[in-house]
Amino acid sequence: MTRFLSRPNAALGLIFFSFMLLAAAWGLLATPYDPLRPDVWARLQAPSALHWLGTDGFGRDVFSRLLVAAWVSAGVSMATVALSVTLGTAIGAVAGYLGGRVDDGVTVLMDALMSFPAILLALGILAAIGPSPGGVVLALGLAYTPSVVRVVRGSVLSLKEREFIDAARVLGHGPLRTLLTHVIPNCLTPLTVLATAMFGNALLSESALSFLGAGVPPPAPTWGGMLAEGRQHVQAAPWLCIFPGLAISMALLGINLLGDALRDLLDPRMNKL
Amino acid sequence: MTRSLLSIEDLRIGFAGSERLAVKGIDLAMAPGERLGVVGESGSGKTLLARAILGLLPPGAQRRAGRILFDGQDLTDLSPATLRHVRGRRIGMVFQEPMVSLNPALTIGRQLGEGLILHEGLSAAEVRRRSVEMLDAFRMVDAANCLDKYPHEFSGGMRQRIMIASALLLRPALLIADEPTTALDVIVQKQVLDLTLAACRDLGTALLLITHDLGVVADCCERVLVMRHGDPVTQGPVDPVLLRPSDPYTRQLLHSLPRRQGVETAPAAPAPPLLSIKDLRVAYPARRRGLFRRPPARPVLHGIDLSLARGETLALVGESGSGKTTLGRALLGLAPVAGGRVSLDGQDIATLSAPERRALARRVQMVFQDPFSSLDPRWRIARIVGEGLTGVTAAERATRVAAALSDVGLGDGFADRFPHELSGGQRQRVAIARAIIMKPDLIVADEPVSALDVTVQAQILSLLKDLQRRHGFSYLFISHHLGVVEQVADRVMVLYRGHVVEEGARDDLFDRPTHPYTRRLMAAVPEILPDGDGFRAGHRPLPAPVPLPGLTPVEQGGVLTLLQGGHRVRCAAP
Repeated sequence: MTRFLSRPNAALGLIFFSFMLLAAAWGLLATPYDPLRPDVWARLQAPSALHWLGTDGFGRDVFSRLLVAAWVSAGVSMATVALSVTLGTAIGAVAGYLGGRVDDGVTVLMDALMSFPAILLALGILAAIGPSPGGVVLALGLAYTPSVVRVVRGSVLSLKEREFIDAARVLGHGPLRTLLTHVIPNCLTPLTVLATAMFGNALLSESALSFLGAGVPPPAPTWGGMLAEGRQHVQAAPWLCIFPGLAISMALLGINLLGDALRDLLDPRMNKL
Repeated sequence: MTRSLLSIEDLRIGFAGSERLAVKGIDLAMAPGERLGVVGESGSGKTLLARAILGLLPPGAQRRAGRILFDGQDLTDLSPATLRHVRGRRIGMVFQEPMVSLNPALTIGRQLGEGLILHEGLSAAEVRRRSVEMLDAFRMVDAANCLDKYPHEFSGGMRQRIMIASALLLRPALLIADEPTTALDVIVQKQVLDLTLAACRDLGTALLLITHDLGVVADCCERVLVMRHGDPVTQGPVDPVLLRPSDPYTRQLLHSLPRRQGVETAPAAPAPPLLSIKDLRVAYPARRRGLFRRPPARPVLHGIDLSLARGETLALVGESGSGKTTLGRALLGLAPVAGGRVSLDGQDIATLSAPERRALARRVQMVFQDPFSSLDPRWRIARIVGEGLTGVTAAERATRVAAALSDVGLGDGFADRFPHELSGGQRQRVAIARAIIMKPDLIVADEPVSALDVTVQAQILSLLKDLQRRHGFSYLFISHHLGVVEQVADRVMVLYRGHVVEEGARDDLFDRPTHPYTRRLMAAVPEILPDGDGFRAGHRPLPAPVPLPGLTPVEQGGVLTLLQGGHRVRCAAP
C-alpha cells in the first residue's frame, strides 16, 4: 500500500476518487439547499457566497445538485459494474471451462453484442424500457457484459491448461467447485483492472445518456443531465456547464489513474522488480 | 601455450538493487576450436555467464567487475555498434527453445540469410548457396526447398538444427549453445549434438556448451567448468575433473545421477492385479473446420494392454508423442477414452455408477510434471494438501495435512506458506503430499522429476520409493529419462507412437533390449557410468541383437510376442 501511494499518479488518482466519494456521501446526508426546489427569484445567479457555484435556470443551487448527482452517478456506475462483472464472469467462466458448443454459442452472441458500440446498445435498451435509474444500470450492465466475458473467458482458457486444475479433477471435485475455488479466484487480477476501467466508462456513459435525455429522468440531478440543461444558458451562465463538466473530468481522471496504478501493482512481473 | 580465443577474468554479475552476486568471479580461457562445457544446477549463473559474453544480460542484471577478452579485444569496452559486429559474425549463439527462437512469420531462408546479408553483404544467389550448403551439412532433407518453408513446418529437432545451422553460417570463431538439446527427445538430441560437433570441427569453431546434463558434457566436451550458486567450483579437462572428481560438490552431482539400485525384484505374485487395462484406445477429437465439418479423431493410443500389481512400479518410457502421458491421463479420466476396458481391483470402471466411479477414482492419484503449475498460486500449502479431503472435521483435516506434510519431509512451518515461497523440490513434495493424503492405491507420476535439478531429483526419487515401502501403493511412472526409470522401476514398458513395442522386468529390458526402437533409445543417451573408483563417459553397451525374425517397425502392425519371463517384444504376426 505504501509503495502504491508512493507513485504520484496513484496518489492523485486516489485523491480525486476520494473527492467523488466524499461528495457523494455529502450529497446523501445533507445539502446546503434542496436540490429539487426551484426558486424563481434566484434564477441564473453567478457563483457567490450564498450559492457557491451559482444557480441554474430554475434557481436551484448548482452545488447542492452536484453533490446529489455525485451520489446518483457513483451509485449507478457501481451498480453497472457489479452487474456486468457478475454476469460476465459467470458466462465467461462457464463458456471457457466447458468449451465446445456452449463456448461457440456464447462467443458468437458476445461478438454480435460487441459489434454495437456500448452506448448505442444501451440507448436502444433504454428506448425500449424507458428512462429510469434502474434502466440505466440494466442497459449499461448488459452493454458492458461482453467485454467482461471476453476477459474472463481468455483467462479461463489459459488457466484450464494449468496442472492444478487437473489436480482438482483427480481429487474428485466437480466442475462447479473447481470453477469457484480455483478458476475464478485466479481471474481476479485482470477483473479488478477491468472493473476500474469500466467504472470510468459507466460514469461517462451515464452522463452521456442523461445528456441525451435517455438516462436518469429529471428533475433528479445527474452530471450529464446538468450539462444538458446548462447548454441552453451557456452564453449567459457558463458556470452551469463548467462545474458539472469539471466534476465529470476530475472523476474520470481520478478513476483512470487509479486503474492504471492498480494494473501496475497487480501485474506480477512488475512486482518482481 | 596457444593464444586463447576467449578469456574471461574475474567476471562478477549482480542484480540491480542487491549486493549479492549471481556470478562471483569467474575466470576461464578457451583456445580456438576448443569445446568447453559449463555445468551447474539452476541458479548457478551459467546462463548469465553466457549472456554476459555477448552483452545480452537480462534487464536488471549488471556486470560488476571483470573483463571479457575475445581475440584480444575487451568486449566490455566495445560500443554497442562494434559489439554488434562481433555478435553473430564472430560469436554465434543458440538458445534452448527451438519453438520460440525462430520467427514464425518469416521463411527459413530469410532468417538464415539475415546474418550473411547484414555482415557480409553477399548477393542473394550467394546467400542461398551458402544456406543450402549449411543445411546439407545438418542433413536437412531437400535443403533447397526448406529455405522457402516456414518454421511451423518443422519439428523441434529440425528447428534446432536450423537454428544451429544459422548460427554457424557466418563461420563464427565461437558458438555459445545454452541448453541446445534440453527440449528434445534423446534420439533427436543425439542427432543434433553429433551434427553440431561435426560442423564445429569442420569450421574450426570453438564451442561453449551450457547444460545441466553431465552426460552430454562428458560426451561432447574436452574441458568442463562446474558452477554452483555463481561460484566456479572446479575447472579442467573432463577427465579427471568430471570423471574422477576430487571436489565434493562435483562428486555429489555424479552420485546423484540416477542409476540402477538393488537386485531384481521377484516376479509379480499370482495375486489379482490392482490395475488391469485391456485394449485401451484413446483418440483426441480433431479441431473442427468450419461450423459443422469435423475431421475424424486423431488416435493416440492403439490398444494398450497393461497390468499392474499392488506395490509394483511400472514405468512407461517413450519419446514425446509416444502416448505415455496420454495413457496416464486416460486412467484418471483426463483424456477421452475411445475403447477398451480399465478395471481397478477387479471392478470394471465402465460398469460403475457415477458416484461409485468418483469414489474409485480417488484411489488413483497423480503427481504432475511441473511443480510450478500444479499448485494453485493463490492457495496456502495446507489448503492445497487438504483439498481432496471431504467430509472431515477441521481438526481431523489439520492432523492429516500435518501428517502428510511430515511424510514428505516438510515441517509444520510450510503449512501457512504460499507456493511461490517454495523451491521446485519443495513444491513437488507438496504435490506428493496432496496425492498421498488420499490414501491412494495407485499413483500416476508423470515425469515427476524432470523439472528438477539432479541433486533434488535424487531426493524426490528416494522419497517416492520410501513412501511406497511405507504405504504400499503402486506407481505408474511416466518418464523419458532412462536413468530415472532404471532406478525406480520394477517393470518397464516402451511406447512408440501409441503402441507398446517392448515390455519386461527392468533388468531383462535394460540388459537385453530387443526391439530396434528400444535399442536406439538406449544407444542415444550419453551416460556417465561408474567405473572402478571413478566414472566413465560413453553410451550404454548393448548386447548383440537377438536374431529374432519379424522384428518390425510399429507402422507394419505386429503383435507382442513373449521372449521369456514376461519379457515381450513386438514382432510380425506369425
